Amino acid sequence: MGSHSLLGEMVATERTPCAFKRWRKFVIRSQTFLALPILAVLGVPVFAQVDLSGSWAYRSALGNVGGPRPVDYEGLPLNDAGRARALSYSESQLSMPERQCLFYAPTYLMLGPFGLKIWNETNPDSGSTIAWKIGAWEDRAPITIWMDGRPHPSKNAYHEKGGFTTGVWEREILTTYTTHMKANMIRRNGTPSSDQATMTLHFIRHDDLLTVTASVEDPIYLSEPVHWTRMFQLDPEAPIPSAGPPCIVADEGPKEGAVPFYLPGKNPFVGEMTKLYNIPEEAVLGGAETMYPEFRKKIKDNYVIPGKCVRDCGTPTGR
Amino acid sequence: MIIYFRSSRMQSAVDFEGLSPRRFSTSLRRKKTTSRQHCLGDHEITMVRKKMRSALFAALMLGTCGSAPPARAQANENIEVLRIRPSFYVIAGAGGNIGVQIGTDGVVLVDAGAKGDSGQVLAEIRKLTDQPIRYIINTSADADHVGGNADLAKAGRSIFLVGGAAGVMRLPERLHITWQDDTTLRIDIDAGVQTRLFHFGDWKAPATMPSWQGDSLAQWERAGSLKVATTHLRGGYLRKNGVPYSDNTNLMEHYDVVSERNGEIWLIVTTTVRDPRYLRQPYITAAQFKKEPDATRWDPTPCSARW
Repeated sequence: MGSHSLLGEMVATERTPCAFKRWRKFVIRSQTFLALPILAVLGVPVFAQVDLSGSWAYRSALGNVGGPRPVDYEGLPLNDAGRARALSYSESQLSMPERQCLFYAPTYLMLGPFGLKIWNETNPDSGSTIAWKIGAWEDRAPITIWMDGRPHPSKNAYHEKGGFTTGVWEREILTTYTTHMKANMIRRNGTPSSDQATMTLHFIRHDDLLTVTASVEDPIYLSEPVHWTRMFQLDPEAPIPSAGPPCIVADEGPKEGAVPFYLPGKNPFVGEMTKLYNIPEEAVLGGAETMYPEFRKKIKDNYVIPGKCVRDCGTPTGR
Repeated sequence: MIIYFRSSRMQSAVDFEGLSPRRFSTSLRRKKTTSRQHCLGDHEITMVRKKMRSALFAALMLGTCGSAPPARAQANENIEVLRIRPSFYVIAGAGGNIGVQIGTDGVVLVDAGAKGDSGQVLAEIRKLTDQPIRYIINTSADADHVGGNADLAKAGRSIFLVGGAAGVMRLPERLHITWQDDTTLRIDIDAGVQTRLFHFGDWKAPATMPSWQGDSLAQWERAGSLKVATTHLRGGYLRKNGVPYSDNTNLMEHYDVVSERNGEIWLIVTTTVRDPRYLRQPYITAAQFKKEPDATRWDPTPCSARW
């Protein structure tokens, strides 16, 4: 990969005599200092960078901590293939011995309930940031955002758990692009994402607030990009670990080799949202039009306020 | 002219989640009151409040001074309609007494009577006016006071979205952003037809009562980022299930525009609500709006009792 050239240079400088090393740093930094006004005069955009490092506590007040209902695809632009795949998913897959330690894809950054630990890796010669790192969670691999302009790998390259991410600064907003993710999900109820999905993130800092907005495109399961925005707040008094605890497989029920799933038309949770809240099934099953405000007007006549519940309220069998 | 829409899940429907019948009823009433408020200008609110006070006072008088001989307007076997003042009636005989205040833009009911009589009650109201029912103020949770809520509410029109500056930007909605003048950025919001004004420069807020949209001072930060501080708000609701914010609320917003690889342009609104009265810590949210190519889908819709 392109990073190897930089990594090699870093290793080489460590073998460089100290006096020459200091001189080299001085020259590089001086060149950088002189280059900035020259670039400005030439009209080349020079974007300021913002320090994103620190422990950022999760602050999205409408969070996903509780998790979604098994079949609730509202607001997701699923195509037919995505919907069919989602409906085949059983929550019990999470308990399979083979999948208990299967990490989520980087899209989980926008779905999970944890804060972010962010730091930068610098070039010891120039002091410039080579990469921003986002620490791992217990169920998500660390994410490296390469800032040195390296290209993305071949489309045939191996897909890592953390994907492959590059970033650029645009008006003090860090914009990143992630490819080479593993197939995973875009909602924690099995709504699928393929290994061809890509994700664009924008990191926007305002004082101690960090707004992260995501756009995920998936030519296999989505008919339009899906967008999310999440909030984080700098919290220096509660450091967030840069890595999650080790994952230990335990017996949670499903036998090794068995894959819980539902055959087409057999998912028992399809009508759950309708039974509970009278939300029409066409809304529950998602699709691009469920993202837009006018969809509410389209189905409003089908919506009836649920009747008085007297037993098992809040459950699918509530009456 | 810029039109944005917001991509959103159907949170409004989900907001009914897990509510027992009693709580649901309470929540619905509260939302009605709230959203109606967001549909009105401050002057209108004041007038409606005066009317509501009059209606409540009249209802109270009816209960305590029931022997006083009111003027009779209409009557039939089951229900009596009593005219208390030119625009205020009491419908008796349909469970608890029902106060009917008729205004220029709608009807306020004090209680809804028993469920079985609501059809006849509605018919009597229709004889008095064709204005929509805007509010039902329940003075008790007993069946003879709230039994008619559901049926009469179906004949209503107003309802409530979370509104006012502290809550409105999180609704599924479109925005229409224009410069009202050189120093005032105007955001029209189609959900409930609300308007926010962002004032630049050394604008000074007029000495008026607190309002739903408050006084917003705006300034550009770095390239393309707009910071808006809003104060002087009238208390309202952050969520449709009744989570409140008070008159002491300070609202800080950041508006940022980002471009996607597919050419889409998105407006990201980061909102921090600080309310020392009702919140222990800042309430931080964000919403996203996609820029639309034209205004063909701009469809301002007044507050609706249905959704």
